[in-house]
Amino acid sequence: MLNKKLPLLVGLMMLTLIWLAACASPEVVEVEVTRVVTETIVEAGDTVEVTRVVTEVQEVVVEVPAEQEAAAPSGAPDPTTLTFVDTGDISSMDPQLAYEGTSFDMIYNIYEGLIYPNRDESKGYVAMLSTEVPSVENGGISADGLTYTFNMRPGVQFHNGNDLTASDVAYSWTRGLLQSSPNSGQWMMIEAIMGYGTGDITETIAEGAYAGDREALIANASAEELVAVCEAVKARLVADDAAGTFTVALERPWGPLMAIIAQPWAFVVDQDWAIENGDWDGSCDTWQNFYAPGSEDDALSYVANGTGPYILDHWTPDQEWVLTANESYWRQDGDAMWDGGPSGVATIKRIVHKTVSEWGTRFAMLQAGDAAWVTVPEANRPQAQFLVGEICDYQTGECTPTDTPDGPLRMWPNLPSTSRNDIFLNFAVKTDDEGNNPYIGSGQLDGNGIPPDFFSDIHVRKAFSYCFDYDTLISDGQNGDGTRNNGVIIAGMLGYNPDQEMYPFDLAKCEEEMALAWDGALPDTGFRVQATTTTGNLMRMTALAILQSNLRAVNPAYQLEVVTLPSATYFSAFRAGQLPVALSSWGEDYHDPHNWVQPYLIGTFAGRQNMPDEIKDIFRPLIEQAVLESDPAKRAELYYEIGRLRHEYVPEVVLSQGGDVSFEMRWVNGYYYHPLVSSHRYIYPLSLDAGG
Amino acid sequence: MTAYIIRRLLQLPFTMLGVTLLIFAMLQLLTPVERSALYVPSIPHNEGAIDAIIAKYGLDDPFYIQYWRWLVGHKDVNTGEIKGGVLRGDLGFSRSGRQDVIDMIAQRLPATVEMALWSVFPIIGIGIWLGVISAINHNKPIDQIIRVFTTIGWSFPTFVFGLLVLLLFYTKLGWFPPGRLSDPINAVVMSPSFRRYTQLNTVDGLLNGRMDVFWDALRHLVLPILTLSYVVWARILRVTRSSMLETLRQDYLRTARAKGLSEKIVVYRHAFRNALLPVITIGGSMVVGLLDGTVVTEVIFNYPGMGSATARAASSLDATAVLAFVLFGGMVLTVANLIVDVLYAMVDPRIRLT
Repeated sequence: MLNKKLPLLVGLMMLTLIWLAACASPEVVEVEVTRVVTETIVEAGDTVEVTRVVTEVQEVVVEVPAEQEAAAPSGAPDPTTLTFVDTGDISSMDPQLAYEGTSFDMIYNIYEGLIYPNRDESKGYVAMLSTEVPSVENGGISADGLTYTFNMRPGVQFHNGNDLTASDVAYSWTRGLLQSSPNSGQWMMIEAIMGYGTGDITETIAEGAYAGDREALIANASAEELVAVCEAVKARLVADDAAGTFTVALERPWGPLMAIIAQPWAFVVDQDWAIENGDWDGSCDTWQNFYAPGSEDDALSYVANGTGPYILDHWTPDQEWVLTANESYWRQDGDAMWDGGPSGVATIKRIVHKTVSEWGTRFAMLQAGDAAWVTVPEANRPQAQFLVGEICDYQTGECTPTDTPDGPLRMWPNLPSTSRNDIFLNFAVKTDDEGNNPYIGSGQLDGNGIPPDFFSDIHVRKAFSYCFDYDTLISDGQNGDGTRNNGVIIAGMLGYNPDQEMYPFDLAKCEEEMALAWDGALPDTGFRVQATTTTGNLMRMTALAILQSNLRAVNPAYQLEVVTLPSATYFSAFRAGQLPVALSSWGEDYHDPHNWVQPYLIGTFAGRQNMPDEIKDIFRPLIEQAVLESDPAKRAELYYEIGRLRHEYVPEVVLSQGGDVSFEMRWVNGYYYHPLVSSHRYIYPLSLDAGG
Repeated sequence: MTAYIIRRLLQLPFTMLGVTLLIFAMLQLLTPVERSALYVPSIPHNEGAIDAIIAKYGLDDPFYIQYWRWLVGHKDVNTGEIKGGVLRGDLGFSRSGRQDVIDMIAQRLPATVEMALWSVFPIIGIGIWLGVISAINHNKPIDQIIRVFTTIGWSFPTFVFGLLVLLLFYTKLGWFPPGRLSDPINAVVMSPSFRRYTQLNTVDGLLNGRMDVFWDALRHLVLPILTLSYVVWARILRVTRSSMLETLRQDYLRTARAKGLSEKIVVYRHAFRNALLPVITIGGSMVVGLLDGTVVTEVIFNYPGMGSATARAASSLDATAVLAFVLFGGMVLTVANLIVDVLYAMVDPRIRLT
């Protein structure tokens, strides 16, 4: 009897367990609370003020969610906690080293710099750890544009209670420049401050022969050379703690400097704390031991101590990180960050970032109201749009109800993207010693491959530009949200010439240009070449498929094979100059045309395309002249000229700038768009409606 | 049997060696430039950087030298210290996990073990039960219903079924969320007052007298276990059913019935044990295989176990972690197979392990 009924009994017990688990009720639980307290004590007869970090256990009532309503809640489940969900995890917490968005999501809330982008882009910057934004008018910038002086804000403390000084700023910037990690954004700081075009601080040693290679640098550079590099940096970054000033002496005037230093790579770490954690001791005798680190051998990659509105609570790799409000934040109530902006201690007390790679799971969390926002891939936007209750205009902030006004989401459409995908054509594809490269087939113009210098013929490059159907990409690949760009500079930016000529989609012109290429051999021999991009991006695959289809329509012997590679493999081959046709994206590091023309025409991409020096030498003097020019009108004219020349040489097929869309729960308040950093990254200005 | 077990354990390192050799050989299909991407998060843009990485990691060295280096470590040119080496217990640093692989395994294995332990009864118990019911009701409506029910589960891709139950039980009903713990309970578990005895949340919740932790951990386990179970019940049912049907036709059972024994005793005491052998083979390896992590289920339910870590490492070509997980998975499966073999011998005295 028991044998027969046992499974049934156990099954019933399991169901009871499941039901009980689903109906778990509120509980009083103990949680650890960390506070910073300042006490006055008498020590050796003297009264001294001591700041301590106190950890204590408190009992709190925890509401373990019971059965929720099927409809999404009208308010946040907990208005003091903001949970958002992304696909990736941080790679480093070190502001000087981190160089991707997921790490910045954390860093922007923990660390701060001297200045920060104003909510209103046209108003420039707001002062953060400095008391004012330097300008020529207030004497912060010298008349020749070479010297920037920052007055340090008094009374600011790091999360561990240490006081912020000008020396901390000098240490942080010097540390970043000397780290010179090729995987960080320090190349911009080095270019701006030191004037080194390679972006590496060891450029002066053996003409940069050991760039990015710490072991080679230590083994080959002399002690004098190493000390000289360090002292050259220190001479340009000078702290005066007594006067409370930090001064930067530039090699040459640099227009984009403010945009560069408003971002994480210029944020400030606590010098004493960094040294305690095993980082560089500030000596010019030892910096080389910390040169070009990866996150695995960087002392500050997995610890954090800033001055910002949030403190790191914990980080569980690949799962979640949690920040709690800095209750001793230096910004006082009423001291608004900008007109109508936030002040005092952060309203949201706890930020929870979860890493969830699967879209279906993220979408379920959004529907359940367990996330304020999630990363929505471009291809999945239509799914999220079903839940949208109101659509808002990022320029006016005005919102309009949708046909489903009870929808839990708010949508901010048409946000100008600061990144773009383009098709890069390689002028001289790298091969191995035997002349082989899997991406160019036979390596000959025999219909079964291409020669390595196939794209050195300008007619081929022009033909590819004519063969691309730009409108179809916007409608089919970008959900209609794209704007075609007529050059490498994105639309609306200084230097973007609305009258610049573009290559139209014209199959007849494509055929004509192909016939002119390679002494007229192509129509008969044809070619076969692989076009590559990273796996999993539907828009990129669509773009290459469009090109493939149009080339085939012109001549069936024009064979473009679309290949997707895992990102690590793709970028490795791209950087090695091995990919003949590569679809890749560029996201600006700072909002300035220099950050577009430099990588495209003489820097990163030009290198990956093996662009000949004679072409780069046409662009280089104009690019240098434009970045040093302080008159915006003259600068724009120079960029117009660069755009005209780019059209003539057509080194890449410029596609369309995407229109970003941001989704968030309607109980989130305070969203704003900014091309450098949106409020979905910097949480301090946000608040949540109670309810749910 | 002891000699057999010792011999199998001695074979273990050679099996592991073979598995890692295979993976290592497959990695050699990539060029040194492509493999350089496996060792650094992003290749520097300056000239010569890729060559420096290839030289630093010896990526153009002969295969056997690279493999030997992975096994025993290499000497750091600056400090002279030996670094790395699987045989020295250093599995390396995982790029995708942002921590040492050994720490990653230590952190994620308990989650996987917890899920595997809680999965045993639903997968094996209910699977066998359904198989027995099906067999003793051969071709009756209950048999047909059970077979249709489990065949639907078998036909469902795990991915689809997981998302469906997630939509129903989490999005619509709000009963069972993804992840391993809810945020407030996670704060409790991370507080110093909560002692981690086993790293298994349900067990530690009970040992700490915190029923809220126990229930919350259980809530998070329900959907992954349901998904895992439903898609494999059909396999267990089919094996149990056919094994039972075959056993029930044996002469000795006819004799038992002729002796006047009740049908219950015939089925459960005489037939069931003998019908269990093939079930142990398939069910045992199936459950211990869970210790290696279940990729799809863990990814859908954002469950932080070995499976989701393996998936992330593989998709980001994190060679260090992939090699370590292959090594670990191979060990788990080899030991698990040994346990199943021993169980087999214990259940059926006719089997001698020599």
